[in-house]
Amino acid sequence: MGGGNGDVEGVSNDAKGGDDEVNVNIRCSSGSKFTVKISLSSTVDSFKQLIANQCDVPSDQQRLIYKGRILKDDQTLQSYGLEADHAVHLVRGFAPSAPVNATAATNTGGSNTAQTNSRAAGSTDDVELGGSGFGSLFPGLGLNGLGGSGGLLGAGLPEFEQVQQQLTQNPNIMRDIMNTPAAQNLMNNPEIMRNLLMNNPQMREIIDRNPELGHILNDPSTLRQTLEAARNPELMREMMRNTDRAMSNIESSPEGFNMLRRMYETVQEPLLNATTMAGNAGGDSANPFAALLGTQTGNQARDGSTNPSTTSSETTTGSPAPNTNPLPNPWSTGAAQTNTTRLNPTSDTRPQAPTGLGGLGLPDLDSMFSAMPDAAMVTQLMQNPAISQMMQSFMSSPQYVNQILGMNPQLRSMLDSNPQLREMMQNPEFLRQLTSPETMQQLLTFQQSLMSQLGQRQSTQEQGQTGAGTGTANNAGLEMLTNMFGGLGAGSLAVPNRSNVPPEELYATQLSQLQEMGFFDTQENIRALIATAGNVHAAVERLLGNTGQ
Amino acid sequence: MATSQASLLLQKQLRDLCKNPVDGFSAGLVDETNVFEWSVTIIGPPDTLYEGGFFNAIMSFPQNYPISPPTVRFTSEVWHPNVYADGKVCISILHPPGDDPNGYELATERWSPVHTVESIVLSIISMLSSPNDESPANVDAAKQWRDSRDEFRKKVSRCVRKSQEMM
Repeated sequence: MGGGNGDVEGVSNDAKGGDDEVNVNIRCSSGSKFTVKISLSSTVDSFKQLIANQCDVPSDQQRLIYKGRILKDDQTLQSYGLEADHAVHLVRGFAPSAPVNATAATNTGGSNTAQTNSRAAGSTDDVELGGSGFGSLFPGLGLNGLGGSGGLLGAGLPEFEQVQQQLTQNPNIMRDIMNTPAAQNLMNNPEIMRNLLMNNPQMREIIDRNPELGHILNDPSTLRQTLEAARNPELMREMMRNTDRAMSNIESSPEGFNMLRRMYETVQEPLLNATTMAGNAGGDSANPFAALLGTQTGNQARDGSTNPSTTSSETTTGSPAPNTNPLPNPWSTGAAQTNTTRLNPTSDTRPQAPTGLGGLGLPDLDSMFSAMPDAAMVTQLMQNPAISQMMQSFMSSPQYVNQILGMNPQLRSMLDSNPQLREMMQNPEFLRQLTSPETMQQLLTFQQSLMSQLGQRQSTQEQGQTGAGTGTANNAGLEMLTNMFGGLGAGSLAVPNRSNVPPEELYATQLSQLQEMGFFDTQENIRALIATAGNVHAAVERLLGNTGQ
Repeated sequence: MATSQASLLLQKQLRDLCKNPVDGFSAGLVDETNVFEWSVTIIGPPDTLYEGGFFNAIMSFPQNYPISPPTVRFTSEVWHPNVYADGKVCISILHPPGDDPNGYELATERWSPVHTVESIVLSIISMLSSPNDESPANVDAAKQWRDSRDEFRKKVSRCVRKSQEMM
């Protein structure tokens, strides 16, 4: 592909001996029209180059359609029967998928064109620079494991993997690369990034299945932010910290776990599902998302040396036949993940960066979730002075909450329908009370008792069922428990906080809402609202649950 | 006689379309010697689910065109309530003239000799942007379109992606 550009200037200079040039009309999909002069014996490729001079569509993104056919680069115009004054449709498409590097090189026009091209040709000399530039894009993109698995670019080259490993071990290289003009260029041009992503068939598949993810990936500001973070370790650490705090905070607020659960269900689960499918289709090495299945693979690649025992235990879960390990199940992974990420922030900062971007902070999210049902884990976390400190400082700044909430459309809509919830989340006073040691302790007790139940339930389910079935069953169990947890936890917190206001007054709006919904027993409604801290949805669930019994 | 009238008419349409193509599609002959078989590439209409796709279709004209309508069959995979699983397009203007025995379509909505390649393809493009789930050709797609739009959207974007990869 890269070699085909050599004879371009020959055509435009009419060096193609003897042939007369004719006018060909180009019609863009936008409706604009222009005319190109070209010899009919020239190739489609050179035709595209000429067109690129006259419009803003780079030649590798051009799709030319004539007489119901899409023109192929290596054919001549004559072979399609093109004649003078005929019109050709021009549509902007994605850049071709195979020569990713060549594409990027032409687009950036940066200093490393030669390097990337030679890399495409398979030479190993320049792999480090050219290759790592691309590799680094992906961890930054927030699909944590992607970069690590090395398969994202469809290359799966061993050198690539090495480069990435080196890269993770040495943040300086990373920074240097991100500071090169070419990389800077990339950052300023999210379009290219998007193309790079879209060039990967697996990636596309996943985006197809999950349009929400596509939005995130298509958002230029997200991309830029990630890249910026990848370049600047300070910023990255900051982002990591923010997210960590935000997560632990949400977890500890009423309905917070439910919110996280919902986020998990809307973002992570589809991704995992998609991964599963991709994994089944493509096999391990070809599947960039294999790493996301609990982030084990990624950890293996990166932290193999630092944490050998963990990784070895995770090997099974990382395989691309993941349904045998239901999503809520591998808590051990969560613990391990927390260990590796929390304790080695400097050696392994990169994979955490994406969490700062929220929407795609999956692995971290995963670890959070994983940590939740593990009572011991939670206890540990809660008692860790550093963490409570972190949470406290986080609590004092409602913007963080807003940030997190704003990032997930689902969450936002939830908040919009529950203004009280938003108020609660934004009230620093309330948040502070929430984090008071007593409340925390109380919450913890609830959690522990619940989680022990969860543990039992899970283990029985696991015994009873094997294979793919476990996933859904366990999910149901988890859901039930999280619902319970949401209600109970909220209740325990809300009552002491607001006991001085009569509940009729406090929940007046919610009460009327419930009335409208057809729940007429005011006393019952109030009880439900008190128990759910005024969350109408949860209250309805509770009320329905009561009548069902 | 009828044959030559048909081929003259089609040749004229072909000439016109080559010089002044209509936005949204490109049409030519499958085989330069047979003017009754057209190959059409429909560009997924912007602001629809099909945006970005390139859908190939074969248009087969009967010898007695324009008395009888052509048939249009997508060769690209198209997930749409009005496209059969084998790609055949089901729109009222391609149905033989006269009243619909099932009473779904009025005579005026059905084939009429004034239709050209252009008007047919434009109808198909408009069909892409607004499916008609009243008398679906692909029942599954119609159900999905009606009940779970998200699923429908995903399936369509997969088709779009596939159509892009074909190039």
